[in-house]
Amino acid sequence: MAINLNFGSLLAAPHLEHLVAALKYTAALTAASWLLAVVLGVVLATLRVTGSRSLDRGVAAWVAYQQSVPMLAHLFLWYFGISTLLPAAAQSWVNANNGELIFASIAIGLCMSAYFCEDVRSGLRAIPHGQQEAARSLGLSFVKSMRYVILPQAIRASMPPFINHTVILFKNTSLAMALGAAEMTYVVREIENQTFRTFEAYTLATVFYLAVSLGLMGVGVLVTRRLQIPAR
Amino acid sequence: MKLFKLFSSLTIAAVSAAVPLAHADQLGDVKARGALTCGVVSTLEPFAFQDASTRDVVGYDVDFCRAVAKHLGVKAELKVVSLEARIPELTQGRVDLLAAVLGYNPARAEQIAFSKAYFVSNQSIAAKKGALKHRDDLAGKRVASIKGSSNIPLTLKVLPTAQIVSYDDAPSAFTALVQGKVDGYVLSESLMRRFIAKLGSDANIEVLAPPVGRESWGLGVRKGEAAFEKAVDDALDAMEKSGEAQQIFDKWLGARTIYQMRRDFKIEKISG
Repeated sequence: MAINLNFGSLLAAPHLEHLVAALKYTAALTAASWLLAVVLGVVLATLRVTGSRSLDRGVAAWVAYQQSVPMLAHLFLWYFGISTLLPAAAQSWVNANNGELIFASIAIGLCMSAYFCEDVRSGLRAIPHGQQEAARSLGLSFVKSMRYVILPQAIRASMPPFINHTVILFKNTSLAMALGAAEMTYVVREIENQTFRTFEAYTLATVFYLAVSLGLMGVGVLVTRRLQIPAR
Repeated sequence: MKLFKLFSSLTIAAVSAAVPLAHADQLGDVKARGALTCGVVSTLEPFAFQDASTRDVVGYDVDFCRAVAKHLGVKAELKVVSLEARIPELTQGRVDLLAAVLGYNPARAEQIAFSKAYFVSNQSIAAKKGALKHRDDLAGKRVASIKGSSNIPLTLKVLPTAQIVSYDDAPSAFTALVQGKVDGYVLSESLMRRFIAKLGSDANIEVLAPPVGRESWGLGVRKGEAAFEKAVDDALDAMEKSGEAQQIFDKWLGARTIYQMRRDFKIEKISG
């Protein structure tokens, strides 16, 4: 069967404009949720090694909850559920300021924070306990010993799963289309609906996600290499 | 005698089977059989749906079928058809008339003939009560729709600056409207009114005028049956005149139903 491909009509007005907007939307959603996930993930992982049993159990419960519930359910819960618990003024502010982007970032960020937390925790476990004791005996506080001694090594050790989860987070932003968030998959599907150029539309989406994912992995390799301490 | 009876019934069977094929007159055939077979759907309240207590298919479409049959002087027979197969059921002669939520469009009009419009469906925008007065107040505002819906181009034609936010299904989009996540929601008016009715007495959603688009529904008739088509149109005209058409509308969609709709059309020729 011959397939008559026509990418030109997809990349012309008004679709091109929508694709560029979608690119920015996906970038903003990825950046916001990644930042939330990484910062929270590192903090949570640190809480697990403070020595407090209740903190350790609390974080473990959070991780179990976030990892056991599908991302789509998290998205709907935040967008249609938790959003209605806000005071009326806050709700109307959020609705007027791209509520889809805000709630999707929170839902994806919180869910992925559990994965980043576990990545960092596995890195922490790779560091011998003696280092913590040595740092503390030098007079560093717990926070300082974590900041200057333990975490730099732990994060270095956890780079491969860290990059992997960054790519997964990026791909999962496509689920936000269910909330009406005009990210890349949403816009590609709209264009497909208008033009019936199914093959071209989804090829375009495939190339986009593939290129960005490979790019993220490439950046990850570069960062890992830079962080590496030359072995003696 | 027995043989004669068998022979005559066979003849009648042969003649009635041959009639549609031999492009004779469907009107005569229906009258000879004494029955009009209508294709109806059975899943779309209030147009055609199964009554929970009697298990009969009832509704706006069913009443129109029964009324047309009465005007032709025959009894009505219902045959439940699916939305996808309704046009083939008619063209292949398994039903005489389609009363099956059938909206007019040029592609369908190439396959079958349409009677005069017996219902006009409005595609309308609903909004929070009091927030907006007129459809065009939604210029530049967020309007919800369903992904891939034909309402999207219709809305953008009258409101080019509206920001369309598409959800996966009708209930999600309605929830977004109720929660104030969008300013309006575009849907067929009867479906919208069902959603509003489900909210109960404190519903604060209203349908804005005018609609963004209108779709005329006709009864479907096989092509090339001019006499039958005219008889159906005459029956519809008579129903309009006698007020019967209005009565059926009021019974299923009027002020005393959950739909609270006003009849803003008359039975008339659909202008393609």
